Amino acid sequence: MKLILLAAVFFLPACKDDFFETAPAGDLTGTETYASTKNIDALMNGTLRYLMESSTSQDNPGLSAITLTQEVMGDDAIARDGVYGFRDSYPYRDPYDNTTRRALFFWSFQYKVIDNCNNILANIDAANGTEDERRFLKGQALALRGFVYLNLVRQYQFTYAKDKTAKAVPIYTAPTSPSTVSKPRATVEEVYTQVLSDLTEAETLLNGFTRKVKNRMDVNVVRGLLARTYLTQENWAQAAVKAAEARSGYAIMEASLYAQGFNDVSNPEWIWGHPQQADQNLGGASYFAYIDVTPTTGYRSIMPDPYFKALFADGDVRKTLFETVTNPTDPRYRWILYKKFRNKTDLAGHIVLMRSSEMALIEAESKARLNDLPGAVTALNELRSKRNLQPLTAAAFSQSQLVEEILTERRRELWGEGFRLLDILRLQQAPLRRTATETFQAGTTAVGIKGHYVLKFPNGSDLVPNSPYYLFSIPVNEINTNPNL
Amino acid sequence: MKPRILYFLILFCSLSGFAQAQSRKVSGQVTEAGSGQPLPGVSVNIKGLKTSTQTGPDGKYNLTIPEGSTTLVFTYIGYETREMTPSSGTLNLQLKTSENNLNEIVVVAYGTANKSTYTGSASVVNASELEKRPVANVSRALQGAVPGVQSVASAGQPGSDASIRIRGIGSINASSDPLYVVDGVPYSGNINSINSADIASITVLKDAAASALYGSRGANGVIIITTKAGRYNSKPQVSLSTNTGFSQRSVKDYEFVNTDQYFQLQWEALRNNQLDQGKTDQEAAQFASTELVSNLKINPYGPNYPNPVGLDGQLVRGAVPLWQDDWSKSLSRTGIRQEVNLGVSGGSADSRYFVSGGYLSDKGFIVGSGFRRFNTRVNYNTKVNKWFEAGINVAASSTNQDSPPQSDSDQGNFANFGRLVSNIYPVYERNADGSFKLDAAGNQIYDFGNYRPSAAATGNNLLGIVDLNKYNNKQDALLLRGNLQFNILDGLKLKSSVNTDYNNRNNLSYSNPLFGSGIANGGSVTKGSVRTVGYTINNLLDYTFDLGSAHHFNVLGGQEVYVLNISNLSGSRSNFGFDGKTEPNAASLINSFNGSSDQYKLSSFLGKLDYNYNQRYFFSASFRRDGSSRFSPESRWGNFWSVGASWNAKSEAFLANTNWLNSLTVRTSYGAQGNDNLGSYYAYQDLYSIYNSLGQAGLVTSRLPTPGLKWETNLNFNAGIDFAILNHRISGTFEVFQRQSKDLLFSRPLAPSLGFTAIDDNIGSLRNNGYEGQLNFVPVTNQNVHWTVGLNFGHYNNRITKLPQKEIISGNVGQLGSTKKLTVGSSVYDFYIREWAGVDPANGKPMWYKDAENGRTTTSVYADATQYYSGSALPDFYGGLNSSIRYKQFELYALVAYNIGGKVLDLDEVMIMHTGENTGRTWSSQILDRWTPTNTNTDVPRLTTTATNWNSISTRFLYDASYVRLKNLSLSYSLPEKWANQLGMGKLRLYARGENLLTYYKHKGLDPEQAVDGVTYYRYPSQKTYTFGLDLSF
Repeated sequence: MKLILLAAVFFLPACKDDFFETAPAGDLTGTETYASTKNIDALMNGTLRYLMESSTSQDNPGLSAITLTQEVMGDDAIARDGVYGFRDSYPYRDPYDNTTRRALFFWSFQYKVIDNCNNILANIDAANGTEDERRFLKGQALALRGFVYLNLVRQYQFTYAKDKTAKAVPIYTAPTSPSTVSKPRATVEEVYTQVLSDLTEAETLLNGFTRKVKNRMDVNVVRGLLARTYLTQENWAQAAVKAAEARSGYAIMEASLYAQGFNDVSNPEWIWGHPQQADQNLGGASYFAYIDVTPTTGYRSIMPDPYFKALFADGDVRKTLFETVTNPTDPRYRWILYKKFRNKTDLAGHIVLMRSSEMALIEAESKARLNDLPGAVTALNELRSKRNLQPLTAAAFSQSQLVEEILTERRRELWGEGFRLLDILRLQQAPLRRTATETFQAGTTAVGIKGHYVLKFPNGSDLVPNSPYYLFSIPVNEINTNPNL
Repeated sequence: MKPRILYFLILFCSLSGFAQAQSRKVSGQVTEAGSGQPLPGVSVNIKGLKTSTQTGPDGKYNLTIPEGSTTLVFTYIGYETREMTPSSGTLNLQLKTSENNLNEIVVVAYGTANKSTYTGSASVVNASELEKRPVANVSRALQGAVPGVQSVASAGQPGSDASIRIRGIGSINASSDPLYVVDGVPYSGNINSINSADIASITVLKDAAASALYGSRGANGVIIITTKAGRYNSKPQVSLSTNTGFSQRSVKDYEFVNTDQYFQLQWEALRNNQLDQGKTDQEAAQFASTELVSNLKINPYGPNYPNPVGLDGQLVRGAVPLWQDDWSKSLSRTGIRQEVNLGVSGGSADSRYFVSGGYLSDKGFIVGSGFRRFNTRVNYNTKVNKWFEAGINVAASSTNQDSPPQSDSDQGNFANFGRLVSNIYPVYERNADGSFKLDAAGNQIYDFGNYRPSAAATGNNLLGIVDLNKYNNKQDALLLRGNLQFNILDGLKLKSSVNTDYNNRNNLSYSNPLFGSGIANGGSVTKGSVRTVGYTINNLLDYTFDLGSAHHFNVLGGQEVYVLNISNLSGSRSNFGFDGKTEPNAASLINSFNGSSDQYKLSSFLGKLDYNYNQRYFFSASFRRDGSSRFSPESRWGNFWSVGASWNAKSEAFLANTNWLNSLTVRTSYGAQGNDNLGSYYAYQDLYSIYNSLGQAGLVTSRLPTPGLKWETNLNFNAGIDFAILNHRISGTFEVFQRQSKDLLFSRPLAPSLGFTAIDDNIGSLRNNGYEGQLNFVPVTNQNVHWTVGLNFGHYNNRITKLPQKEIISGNVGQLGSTKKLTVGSSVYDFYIREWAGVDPANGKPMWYKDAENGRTTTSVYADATQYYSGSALPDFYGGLNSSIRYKQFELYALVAYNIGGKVLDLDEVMIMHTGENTGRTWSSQILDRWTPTNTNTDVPRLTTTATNWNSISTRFLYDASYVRLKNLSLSYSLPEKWANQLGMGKLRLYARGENLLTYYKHKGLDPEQAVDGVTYYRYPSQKTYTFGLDLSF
């Protein structure tokens, strides 16, 4: 009997399904995720983090990778020679080259954000929660999707005004399932239609939404995005209206604040920004690691063109932020530093995404284009006064002179925030890159200040408007796996 | 049934057997051939009956043979089995140690088998071969030792694993690693916690008949490790072995340019870039001369030569570098290896034991690397009474590995650092005149090079931080194997076992706050722990019986449950406030704190039938049904099976008198095994990763649902022949196989615009056809000389036979792009890369081929170039050659591993083949042959400081992977026994051994042992080790 008992003890009743039940500790299933608005809110929160902080290599710090790439592909910023990061974008080698890791990153992470938004939109209606919670999440998902499509259409094809029938990027509005078929490229026009539809619906849905953290998109952010969209479409009237609405409640910061490093969402004029934390940032390979050139170590790679410095008038608070490095043992020797951005001590500087200054400039430009010069100058002066500059008068300008002045003000005000290449494409211009001639005195000798060192495209030709070298390329992986493209 | 009744029943059975026959007594002594030492514990069976006994401590036995039986079978693991017919009452005999071949008892799935009649394909490596290999990880000892096994030691880091591929590549996206079984049960720990000195034998199971009993985990073959055991009726024997040695890099690194060359080349790159921006010759040369030092951020020629390279591109007259440092050498050293093992074994009539302890310390040749292990083991078995036996194996080990980063392109990689920082930069800080700067105490100061360009590892000096930083893994492992055996009836046994593999790994990675990468964040530390516990419990009923005198059966059936629990904890902090403190407590800022756990469960039913007719025809069948928690309830259960047969031709009457033929067996098998190691434990659910943000809950999509996903199945066919002729002077095995994988797991690539890069899918099939063999010769054997030669070889081809889509681009290497393309008819490891078309003689630009309307043309735009199939990473032929010569007391042994054919993509070389855009980075001396207007016929392009893509992946860097390596050479001397006895010892042996002594490989600079997929990735190269030691026993 003992023997049988013994055998029975060892007999293993292990073939029922509950024996096999295991659950991952680091994941939720779809059913769990979409059960409640609380969980879907987490999906929105995670998606925003993904947008800002996903990274496949040191020179791909989330959305900031695009921001910085768009800076060094223009003319006012230079990727410092000999340091890592954006060094291949500066001479237009990537993202033009569709085989590079960066071409793949730019494309993939933005579409992943879109798919997350599509998932929220497809599942929000059935989730437990209040009607407002569902409405606000839906609005945020639409806003984020509109934001990404607006970025994509401006990165992967020439500007709307050039050719709106040109093929841009695929549009997905439903979540990806195992049976989803990849889509063809939609036209520029179609993508803008999608952007406007998303943002317009979001604007309605987000009415009444009060955010707790500034990385969430509220109605002001949506209106700012609408202003950007209309500006690119050259719908000046709408651009002016939306820009004004967007900055309502966000006063342009005082001059003293401008010099404090652009690192905190508490800044009164930040409409949208991503706060970071010590436990959650990309450290030595973050936006600030490249744009903040003041630390003693690190990449510190985005430098201003000496000709950019020359755009500032004396007395402009922004001009006080330039410093030429004259110490020969410093690796930045002979470069000018532009100290607009300074990281926090815990390396978790917040990232700016939309400011009321930009909105004022959109308003000013749109009004100038509409030949409302006094209106334009009023908006422009709002900004100038906060930068310690004398107000301008409309009478001193012709329409084109004023537009030119406002565009120059955009360069002065928005340096480092990713607008330069987009403006070059929008205005169908070519970057103006010139060899630096400025010097500083070291004792009795005049030492040359460093500036542009790539003045031509990789094929040896001159920089011209609407060159494919300015466009991001659809990565070879997409071409290989999407037969419908 | 009460045990006592059972006892009587058993007793009655044997008594009744006794009473039936007229019997006779036989006795004698069994000794070891050669040494003449008595062999205790040899099992002596009466052929065709269950009756058996064992030899005592003096090797003696006695037995009663019943009427009708004539033949005694003497078996002993590690020795050749002998069958003898006693002509009188005394039968003395000698057993030969088996030379890795026929008539050998081998450990197989859930039991043992006689190799000469086994229906499956199994190869064995015995303790005597293992003990010659100074490796810290037994997976490395298989290279060249077993036919059909590819072992690629892809890193020289002491303690690291080798990748093992048995009979080719069975999978694309799931694991191709074999299953390790230790003392009868699948092993869940790290293979480097097992001491090779404790191992009695390793059996490699290669076909379905051998490994189908491991079901959903057996598809990639099985490696069974069996540890040493004591012997019944033997006196305690103590064996001690100790050795010490040193290690170096086994192959020389690439050749680099010197400082003078470096400066002139960089001048040229700067000048050329200026020309490309539209400057005149004069302007460009002027720019290059004045900007050179500012570009490289160093002037090794001193302040007297502010512009060391003139407008002509030549060094200014009189300029001499004030130092010539060597970064690679500074990070290398002579590694020291020490090992001590002590074992005690013995046994009484009803119990036996093996107890051991060992210590190993292996410091690698790269500074900061090392591996230490303490381990101990107790294997104990007892026969409580006739019907009850019990045993327990307990092994504990503690390892401590210092493993600085060594396999990535990042600047912290110790193996690669010398290929990042050019030797124009000093290792220690220098004054402008070239003299060393000294600190207050008069010591040299490490130069961290905050001034260096990024490409030359700004702010880093690995030599300077190696003593300050830590890269440590500590691992404690406990292995328990408890088993009970109930002998229910004659031939019927119930075996139950409870087994646990416990593994706890603690890693600490610390960057100091003062120097190197830690400056930015005040130093940082990451500490983590992974606890892995695997339980296996099984109950097996084993019944051996005969029908008539010719029909012999063995049936095994039972169930098994496996549960694996994994629990992770890790956190990191930064900003240290105190010097010399390296634990997280001392850092003030919490950067992360993570923890997770996983579970994996497997429930199985298994059965096996072995039948033989008159020891002549053998037949086997096995079946296993597995249910796995990895899969959805709908596709959870799967069936795996095999059938096999063998024919022992020598036992046929017509060959019985063929004296030159000692044995001849023909065998074949077919069956299905599975591979459930798909990487995910939850391979069916749609998953959203928890991705918290800013103190709030966060999620992000991570996996598409795949409810129908299941394991891959391998269908294996094997046919083989084993023979021995001329008194066993020549013996061998030859096998052919076909291994077909179906329902192959693919991470089927999706368009990135779908938001997922891939979806797991069971689509596609793969086939490996191949053959392998082993030949053993004994050219000379006599009183004084015993010479053996063994050769093994393997070949397979790998073909994809079905795919879900026309083609799949695969083999992405970090950030460098894809290297492979899968199509029907191609192999998994066929390179699919751009084809190098040389340098354009007209302008020095790199060129690649591209398809055009009429044939091929060339392009200088990398992205426009077409990718082509460019050969396979898989070798045509691989294996080993070994030879041992014993002359009197001396023995010389050599093992050569070879690999013929196949290609390797040398991405290490790419690092040092820039054209000047990676300012300050080490330059290969191949760059001296760059294109210039006067050197137009070259395959190194024109220099320029703007990247040209020329050193992107292309056939320019694809090389033949054939090599031959002297893996092991050892010379030993055994003290004559009588001298040893005078010293109070049974045996004393002194030896000198070398590992990786010689390598014949055409492409200089690269270590040929890289990865199965043929792509290098800046790994720690293999090391050459010399050891000296002694073994003694008493």
